Amino acid sequence: MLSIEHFTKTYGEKKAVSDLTLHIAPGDICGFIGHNGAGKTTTLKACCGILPFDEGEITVCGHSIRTDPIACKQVLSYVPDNPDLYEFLTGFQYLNFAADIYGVSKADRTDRIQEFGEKLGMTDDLTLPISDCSHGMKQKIALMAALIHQPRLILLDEPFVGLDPIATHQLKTLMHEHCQRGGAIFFSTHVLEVAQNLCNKVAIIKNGALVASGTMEEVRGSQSLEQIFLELEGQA
Amino acid sequence: MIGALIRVRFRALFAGLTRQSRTGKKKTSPVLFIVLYGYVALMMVFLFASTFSKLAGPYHQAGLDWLYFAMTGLIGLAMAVLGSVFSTQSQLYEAKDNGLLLSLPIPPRLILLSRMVPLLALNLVFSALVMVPAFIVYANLITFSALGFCFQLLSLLGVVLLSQAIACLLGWLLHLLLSKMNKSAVSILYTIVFLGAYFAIYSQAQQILAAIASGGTAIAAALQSWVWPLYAMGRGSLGAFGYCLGFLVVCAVTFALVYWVLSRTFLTTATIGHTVRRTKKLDWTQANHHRPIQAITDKEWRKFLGTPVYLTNMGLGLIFTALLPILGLVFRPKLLPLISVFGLSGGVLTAILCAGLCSVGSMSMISTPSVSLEGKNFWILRSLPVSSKTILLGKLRLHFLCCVPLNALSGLVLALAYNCGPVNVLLAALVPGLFGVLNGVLGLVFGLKWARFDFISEAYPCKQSGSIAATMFSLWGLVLVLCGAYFLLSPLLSPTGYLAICAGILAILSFALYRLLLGWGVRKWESL
Repeated sequence: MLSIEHFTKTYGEKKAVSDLTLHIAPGDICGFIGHNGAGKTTTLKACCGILPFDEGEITVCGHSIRTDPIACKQVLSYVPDNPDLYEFLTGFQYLNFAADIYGVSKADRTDRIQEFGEKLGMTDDLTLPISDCSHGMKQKIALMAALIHQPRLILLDEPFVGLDPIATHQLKTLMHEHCQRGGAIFFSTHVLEVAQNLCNKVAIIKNGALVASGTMEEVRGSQSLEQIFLELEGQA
Repeated sequence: MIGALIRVRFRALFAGLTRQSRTGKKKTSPVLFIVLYGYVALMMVFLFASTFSKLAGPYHQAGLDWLYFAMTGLIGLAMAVLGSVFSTQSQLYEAKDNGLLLSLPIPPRLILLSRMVPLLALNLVFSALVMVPAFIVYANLITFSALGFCFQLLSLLGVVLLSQAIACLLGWLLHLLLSKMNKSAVSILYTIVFLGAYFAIYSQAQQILAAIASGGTAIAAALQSWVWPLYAMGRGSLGAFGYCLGFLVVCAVTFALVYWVLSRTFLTTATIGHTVRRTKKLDWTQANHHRPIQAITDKEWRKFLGTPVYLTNMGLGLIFTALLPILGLVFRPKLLPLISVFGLSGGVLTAILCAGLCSVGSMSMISTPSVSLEGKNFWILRSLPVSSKTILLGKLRLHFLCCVPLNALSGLVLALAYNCGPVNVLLAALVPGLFGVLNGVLGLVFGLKWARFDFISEAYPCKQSGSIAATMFSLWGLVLVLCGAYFLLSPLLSPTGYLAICAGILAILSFALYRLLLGWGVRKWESL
């Protein structure tokens, strides 16, 4: 579903990510772990076509993000760590905007807005201007917009930050349901317990280079993910 | 600490001119903008110098030299206050880093002071544009004394402090009002009232100037009894030390008092929440499916209506364009005899109408700040499956929908009202309409060229950015060139023929820029 081959990105003189190769198959929930500034956000942004890159290739469902970005974006969705949304729109207007761009029919968007609104406890707040929403509410609106076209691949940057416990639980359920339907999720997180319990695959990045990747069992063996991460970071 | 805060403010200000927001690379030289702003400043200096040269003589002969300086102070004060109220409100209370700074161990009074320093500099520019020419005129026409000139410069500083105090108070009240009411509605209302008053005064300027020049004694008596600081300023500017000191003390005390009040309330005012609206039922009729370009245009429309500084700065041209035909119809009975006295043909009249509509239309630069205004939301459009071309055309579409029909309709109504003839009626609609097209495409090209996403206040992309200055001056320059060429070519071409050529030039320029937008513009958008 997502194929990253020898991905390299530099900012001026600094190499943010170097020669990263990673594959995510349908049904995978892959956690992306690394210290601050390791290159997680850079990689996620490059995967969704926000950030041009220097070397390598990224394909989504067989489409190159370089040469066919629109086809890639049609089947993926991205939620950044700090979702700055259009504050001059209401949540409902924003969802309709996203649905228009993705070409979602009126019937489908109505069903999905109702479904996700109820699951995330947002139905009553969707008529509020986004400027009046809290960080958590904005996060939920961004998630709803990301799910509105039933993407095949979802890229999430720190998705649990700012969510209340109920919404966190609902998001985990939504993530599982999405993967059971044959979709895939690639998300960054600092919460290692969540990654350990939620993901079937994990990738650990350090100073822009992938230091471990594979199924959760392959990477952690009999240890906890936290122990492995600390060992790889040289902190254990 | 205060030094560090002020340095950050000025660094942000200068970074806007010298660095690109996302890449940090050096930008195009700001020399062009300095030259353009310098040109505008020079024009204003000449305007005020000519105004004050009409007052200096009569007041000196009446022995009311102090009143001359009091008037310069009053006009300088008005100019600085009116010119900076909105900037003051947005810079003090709507700066995006207020939350960050308030969370740091910095006393709110220092944050406030650091924001007031650049505003003081702005007010100094506004006041100096009025007062320095007045001082030079007085020195040139009446008399010059070094001591008097020093005191005049001191009085300028007093005016700056006083104007900043008044602007801060008004900005504070405006912010409180905006937090309780619809921002866009209040902003547009304020702008209309302000501009209405401005144009009412401007249209009567000659009569007011004559009244001021002839009624010096009465004005002097009124000022002397009711507005002592102005009297003191006038006397001080002539070299009276006591009065000069008195005026400076009044200004400094007023400024300190306002600063004290605002610093005591800064924390609550800067973090004031907007009135929380009650939730309503979802209106599913809004969920109808639209094409992506329509969705982008709708989004741009809501951004335009929902961003007060965008609406007031770019929407004014639309209001004026709509007002012109109404005024044309109202004053038709008075203007028709004048037109026949001057023997203006339908063609000449159409040319004048087109020049007027294009000049006014150049104020509606809706497309220009639309790129920078994406700001922190830029990731949304970049992550959605919509082509760069569609995004740019969606932005352009809003400009076209707002400006082109209105420009054309205004020209049509005016040309019909003044019986310009069938071909001229067509040209009166075509030329301003095409000018609206050119304005939109040129503005978007410049908006891309000088895009910045790291502004602290939305006032930057709407008022202070290089793209706004470049679009505005380019359009004014084009109008001037076309007007100049008309006078040169009038012996060879009929006005109607010339307007047809103008329409052709505007169409060719628009098409060329449109091609540039679809090529270079798309690549530029993708590289931002």
